[in-house]
Amino acid sequence: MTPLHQLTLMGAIVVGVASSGLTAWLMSPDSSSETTEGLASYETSYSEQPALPPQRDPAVAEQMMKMRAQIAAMDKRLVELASENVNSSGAPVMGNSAQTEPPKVQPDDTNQALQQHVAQIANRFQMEETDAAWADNVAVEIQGAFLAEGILGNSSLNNVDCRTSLCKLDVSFNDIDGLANVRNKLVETVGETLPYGAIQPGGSDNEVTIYLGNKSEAFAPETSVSR
Amino acid sequence: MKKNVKLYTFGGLLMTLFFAHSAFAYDYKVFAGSECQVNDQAATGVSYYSTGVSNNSGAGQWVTCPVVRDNSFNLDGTWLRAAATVATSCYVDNTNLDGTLGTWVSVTTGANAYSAFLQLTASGSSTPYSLLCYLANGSTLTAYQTAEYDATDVGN
Repeated sequence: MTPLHQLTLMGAIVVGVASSGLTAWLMSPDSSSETTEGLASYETSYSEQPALPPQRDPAVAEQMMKMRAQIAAMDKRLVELASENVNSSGAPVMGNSAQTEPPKVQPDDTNQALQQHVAQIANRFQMEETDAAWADNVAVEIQGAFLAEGILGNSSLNNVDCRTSLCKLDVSFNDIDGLANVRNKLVETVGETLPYGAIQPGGSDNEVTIYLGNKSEAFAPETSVSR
Repeated sequence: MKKNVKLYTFGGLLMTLFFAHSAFAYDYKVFAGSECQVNDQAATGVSYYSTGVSNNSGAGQWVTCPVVRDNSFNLDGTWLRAAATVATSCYVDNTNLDGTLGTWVSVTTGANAYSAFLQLTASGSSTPYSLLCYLANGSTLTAYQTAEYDATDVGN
């Protein structure tokens, strides 16, 4: 469960408890009604408050002593926590100091989410039937993009395979700038036909597989995702 | 306490909850087009004004625009839109740092109007978003807008 989910759950519990209390509060009889009789009743009950505290039961007094001791201990702990939340310069740290620093994200975690998503797209491509007419036309369009000025020399299209809404391109590139250039050129030339794209590393450091498509569903995550 | 005072208080609490929920729906940001940088640093004729970035280089130019990502851990992407003086191809991408892994989506903007939404439906954790637009000669990218999902500005 992510911290956000935990926060949402806690919020739901708080709202639930608060709304139960509110319901009970709204449904409870008024402590004062709008009638003069109710006001009179309130004044009477107020005036009937004893001027001196009543005699306490020894057991109750003992219980109160324990509670006071607990409160004193909690106060002490609060002071300790407040002192822990002061940084080296003496300035107070707002909230929990652990929350003020972003959690460390390992590169593997970062890549894992993208890898999983692109693998889903690759799987959809494998499952898709072939519409020969569409596939041929689009493949020619893609090959034309690679022949356009700006791509040739920096990269090469090793293979293109189109199905019904998706195409798979195996691309080699000389450097990262060349790869960025490929993406720009593809958007520039076939972006209107195939507006969605995904890229994943290929067999070697200078090879990638690019998926292009014309349907957003093919590029949507399969499972619910974390925010 | 009077009954109507209770009801007003209850109503106020409901409205607070409603608006608090609405406030977390999206985090919108608008940027001037002049925030964008031309990819070809040697290109001449690309100018930056308060009204945007203009391409009068005699050829089409790609520009890359910075996108602030406050919610850096969400995995369900973001959306953007851009406005240009003539129809312009833009795309938003979310790739790893060497550009070999990720996704993108492109759209052509309307003339003098914001484009349709560029909705990226997936994102990597902590990977940057980029907006890139291909400016035809004589075109000006005037502005672009981003909308992040909730949970922004909460220390992540």
